[in-house]
Formats: sequence, C-alpha cells, structure tokens
Amino acid sequence: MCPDNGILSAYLDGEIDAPWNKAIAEHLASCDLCRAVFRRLEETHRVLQSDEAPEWTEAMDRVRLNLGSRAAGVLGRFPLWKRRLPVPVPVAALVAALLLFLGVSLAFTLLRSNVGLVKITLAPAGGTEIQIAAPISNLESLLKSLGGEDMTHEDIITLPKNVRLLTSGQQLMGTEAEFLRKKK
Amino acid sequence: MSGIDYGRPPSFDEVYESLFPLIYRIALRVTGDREIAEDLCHEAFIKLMERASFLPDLEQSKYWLIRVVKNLSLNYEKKRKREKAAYTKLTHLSVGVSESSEKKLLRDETRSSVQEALDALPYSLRAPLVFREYGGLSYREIGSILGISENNVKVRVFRARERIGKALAEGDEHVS
Repeated sequence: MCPDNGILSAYLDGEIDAPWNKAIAEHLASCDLCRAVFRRLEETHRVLQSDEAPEWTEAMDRVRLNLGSRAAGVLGRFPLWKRRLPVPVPVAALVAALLLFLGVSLAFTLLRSNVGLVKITLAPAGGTEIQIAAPISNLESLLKSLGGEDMTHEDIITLPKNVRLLTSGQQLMGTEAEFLRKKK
Repeated sequence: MSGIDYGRPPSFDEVYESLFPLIYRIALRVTGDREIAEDLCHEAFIKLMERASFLPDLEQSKYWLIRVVKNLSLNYEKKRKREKAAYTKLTHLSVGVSESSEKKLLRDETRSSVQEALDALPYSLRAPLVFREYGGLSYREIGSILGISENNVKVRVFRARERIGKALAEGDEHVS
C-alpha cells in the first residue's frame, strides 16, 4: 500500500523516524508511482535550496545603523550583571547554604552578646564608663557586675537619650537618662 | 552560524552577524518585498535587544527571531490583503490609479521565479515551507510557531511543494 504523499514529503525532510523511514525507502525502491512523486518533491526542494540568497549586506548595515542609540548600550558584549552565568546546581546550593549559615550565626551572635550596643571604657582614674546605645533588659544585673565588692571607683553608665526609666528611686535617671553611681 | 562557542551565551553582535542573513532571507521569502523584509528584521532585532539577557544559545535565538518574524509578517499579510481589497475596489472605479506597465515590468524583473512562485501561495502554505526550507526548522518547531499540529505542518509543507513544483514547471514551459 502506497504511503500518503505528505509522508513522502516528510520523509524528504528527515521527519520520519525508524523503522518507518526504512519501510518507505524500501517502498520507494519498488513503486514507480511513489518514486515519481518523490522525485518531483526532491526537485522542488532542490530548486528552492539553489535559489540564490538575496543580497543582504546593505540591508544589514542599514538596520544596524537604524538600531542607533538603542544598540549603543547593547551591541558588543553584555555587562556581567546581565549575563547568565552557568553555575552547577550543587555549587549554587552550597553557596546558598553557606550564606544562610553565616547570616543566622551573625544574627545569633548579635542577639546573645549585645555587640555594638554597649561600649565599655576604663577611665584613667580607675573607674569604668559604659555607654549603652540601646535599652537593655536587665539593668540591675549590669550594675551588680560592675566593680563587684571593690567599690573604690566611680562608675558611669550613660543611657540613650530616648530611654524612659521608671521614676521610683532616682528621679535624675528618668529626666537626664544618666545614672551616676557613686562610691559609698 | 559557525565559529561561535555554543557553550556560552552569545553576544548581541554574534547573534546579529550570524543570523541577520538567514532572518532577512526568511522575511523576504515570506513577504516578497525587500523593504518590508528590512523593516521586519529591524523590528525583530530591536525586540531581541530588549530581551538581550535572554539569549541561551544561537539556535534558540534563531527560533525566537523566526517566531517574531512570523508575527510581524502575519500582521503585514493582513494589512496587505486589506490594501489589496481597497486597491481592487478603486481600480474598478478609476483606471487612472492602476500600476503602470513599465513599473510592473521593472518590479517583476527583480524577482526570482522562486519568489514569484512563493508569492502565489497563500500565507498558510508559504510560511511553513519557508521556515522549513530556509529556516531549517523541524515540523515540531514550525507547528509551535504557527500554533498548528505537526501533522498539519506535514500536510502544508507537502501542498506548498506541490504547488511550487507545478508553478515552476509551468514557468519553464512558458519560457521554452
């Protein structure tokens, strides 16, 4: 049985997969009618392919020129941040995990140690000056840790200006946001 | 399309230099008009510039550009049909606006017999044949671009070849 003419055209284009392509080749070898159709298709294909390509250089130059300023930033190589860099998936995953770990570690350290929130300096007279950039939750334990039993020096704790303390006891702390603990 | 490192994304220059001749040829064979083909290429490459970072490789760029050319040429085809209908209507009313025989002769002389045979085809047959013959696209890719099945592409390419074959054979008979 002869194949559809469309199949012969598809066969010419290499669009017929095995084993059907082999079957068509065998059929063409034995069928004069299909072979004549196939030869006509082949001839048309040959004529289309041999048709001379149009002269394109002038058009190409004109189009390039017309692209003008829009092309100025794009023609040539793309900037790095616009390029797609092929990165293997395991490497990308490893980098992402590392960045996540560093971020979590940094946040945890900051929360635990108040790094950057408290500045401690030793005064020349032997006292301790503590500058606190943000409110701290347990002021009493901080006070107890200063000097310990040795109360021979003057320690100064400077709190941020916007800190509001309860007015019980030292009124001065609430108004000037400064606590002065003097030697007993 | 040789001399390009396929392992890395091509630059716009590389795409332009490599694909312009092919895209221009396709645009010309589909529209049959050099000026329109040039305009289509201009539009297509502007669109490519706008998506400059999206150039995975040359083959994908080719497929993408042909898809753009198809959309643009289809718009042109519709416009041409409208104008042709209006022109035909007008020529029935007045003989003064018909194309001069001298101008027509000059226009025809610049056309190849293949181009004339392609022009005689309806767009629905011309486009898939041109994409196959000059774009080297597979039936699956052509189907995707035109929004039709692979089987439909197969039928259209065959019918287009059949008609082109007949037209060229008739042309040869007239010449001899």
